[in-house]
Amino acid sequence: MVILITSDNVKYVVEKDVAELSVLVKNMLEDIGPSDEPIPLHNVTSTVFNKVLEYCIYHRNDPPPSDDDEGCASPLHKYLASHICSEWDQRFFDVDQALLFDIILAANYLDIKTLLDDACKAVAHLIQGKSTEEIRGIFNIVNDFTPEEEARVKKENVSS
Amino acid sequence: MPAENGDRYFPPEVWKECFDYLQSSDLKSLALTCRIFRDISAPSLFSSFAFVLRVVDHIYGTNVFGPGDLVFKEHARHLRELAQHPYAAFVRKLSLKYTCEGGIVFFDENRFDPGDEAFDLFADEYERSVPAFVNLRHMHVLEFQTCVDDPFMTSLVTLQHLQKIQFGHFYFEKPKLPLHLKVTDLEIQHQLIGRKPLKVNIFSAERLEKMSVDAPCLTPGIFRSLRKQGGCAHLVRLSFRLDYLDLVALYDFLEKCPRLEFMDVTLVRFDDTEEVIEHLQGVEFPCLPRSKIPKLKYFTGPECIARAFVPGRPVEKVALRSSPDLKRELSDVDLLFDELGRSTSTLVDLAIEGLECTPEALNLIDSHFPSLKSLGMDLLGPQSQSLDENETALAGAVGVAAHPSAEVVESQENVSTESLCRCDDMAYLDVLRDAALELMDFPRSLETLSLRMSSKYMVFSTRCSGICKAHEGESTADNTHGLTKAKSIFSALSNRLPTLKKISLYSKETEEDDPNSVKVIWEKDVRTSRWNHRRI
Repeated sequence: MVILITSDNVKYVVEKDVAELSVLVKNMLEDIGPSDEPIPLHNVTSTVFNKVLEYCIYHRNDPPPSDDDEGCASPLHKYLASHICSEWDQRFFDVDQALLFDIILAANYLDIKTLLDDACKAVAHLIQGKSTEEIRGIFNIVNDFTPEEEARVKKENVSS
Repeated sequence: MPAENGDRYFPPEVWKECFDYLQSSDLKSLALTCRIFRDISAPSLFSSFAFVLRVVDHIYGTNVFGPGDLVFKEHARHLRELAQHPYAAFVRKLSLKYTCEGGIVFFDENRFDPGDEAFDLFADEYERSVPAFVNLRHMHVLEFQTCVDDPFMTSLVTLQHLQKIQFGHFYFEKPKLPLHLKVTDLEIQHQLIGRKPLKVNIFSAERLEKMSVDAPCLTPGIFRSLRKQGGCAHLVRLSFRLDYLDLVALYDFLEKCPRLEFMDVTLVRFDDTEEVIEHLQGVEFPCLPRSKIPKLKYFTGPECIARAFVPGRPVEKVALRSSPDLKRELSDVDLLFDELGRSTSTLVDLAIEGLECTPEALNLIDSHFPSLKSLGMDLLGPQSQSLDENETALAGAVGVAAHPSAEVVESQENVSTESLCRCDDMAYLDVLRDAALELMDFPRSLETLSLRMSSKYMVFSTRCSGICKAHEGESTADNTHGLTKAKSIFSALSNRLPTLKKISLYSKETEEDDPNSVKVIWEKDVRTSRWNHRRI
């Protein structure tokens, strides 16, 4: 068992194999060696950690992602992969946008690659098929192009 | 607060992760939202560019001189702008394709001549611009109907990261400079025929891992040049088309390819200007010393070369091509199998064109290669036996009580309920039935079976005309009959060959020859044991 403490001081007792899905936690455990010291997770609140834990417990027995795929997966490959998503994952990521973003930040901080990948897929889903204006709406983006820049980007879009 | 756009949420590398799942149309919308998203999506958007120069032959209406000129000038300008753009370093793949609608380009003064001023202008721009794409990995040049001269090639040599070159219909007229382009993957295609083999010394052997030369006029020259450089220490895959009078060049070259695992050989013979199809049956080729290409695993090509190269090497997969009308004699095949059996590994995958799927042929295969996992052969046309003759025997093979209704219920779980009773399926169903009834001995370990047949049997089979007519006349009785029959065949087949999970059927004629060519695939879902059927 591993003891983890979130930034809002909530204590979690988690089985080792589940906790070690986080490369950050795994490395810390290796560094401190066998000990009952709780591990602080500075950048994760309990609200977000509940979600992360739910994901890790469900996916604890998944085969680990192979290193070979990393880097060499083509964009098309990734694009196709974005359409393959289990029902459970779809329901899991059916949350409000702020929580989704927090999950991504937590996954990035805790270094849980599969969760990060899946959450990024969910963000890609938000963007797919949307117009420029719609995307600005989703992420509260202010158009910071000068009219000349915007015209140039438009032109480049046509030729690429 | 424009400065916070996007990075209010994530660092750029996380956004990049998200954007990797998007198509270019979505990336284009993103690039227009704000500067940050523009910067993150640019590398993907700029990774691949294609310049397609399309010219319409004026014999079909449009005068090409005006528009052709404009097309080239416009493209030349685009290319120049792209090369000068700060994102030029993101370009990974560049393709250039020249197409002429309405047929071949004729080089006479009344028609479009790609050697004219406008084209030269574009070619010059290309040579000048290419060095700007410093991170280019893949260069694809197709139908570039002009002689390539040294400046063009020299411009490619400056690209340090170039890994793959694809040249299609490309002339190497003046290779004066030994340039030694270093790539890992080289693909050349050229239909030039009836010419003396050309010297080609522009490619370096140093990093080559994969090479395909579909250009008999260039193949010997490339082989010789690579050999002269000391051979290809890293070459793993080799595919080529060669005039068989140039075989010496091949043998010399192979002596210097120690890592070769995949080889795909097409031999041809030219008679002045036309390609003569030669079966080369019975032609003996000298053996290659066993110490050469010691790692050969996969061989595709003519029988005569297989006989010389397979024995003594760890070959696991052999595919033998033949012309569509060739029929192999069983006595020859027996001798051939003896040779293939001398592979130092176990042959698990055999495809042999020109050998018909008969009980005798299968006996030969089963006795020589009992652990075969994949088999491909030709399918005979419809046989003389009656369609209904073996119904009872089938019921027995399925292992179901000879109660007709029970059989249907049982097998409904095993076969998808798509329309199975199309008359064109019936020719191969006979073979599968015979396999199920052990009238034909397929190797027990078989996982994949592919059958090649004349497309006329895939479109119409005379024996099934009864069912066909009934089908048109919506006679459900006969439909059910066909369906039931197919289901019992597949159930019985699953018992007889438990590991079999894929059966594909395709027509002998290539697609260009025959617009009706179809492909039928049966696949077994290993979890549900259900056979699914699709056609392409």
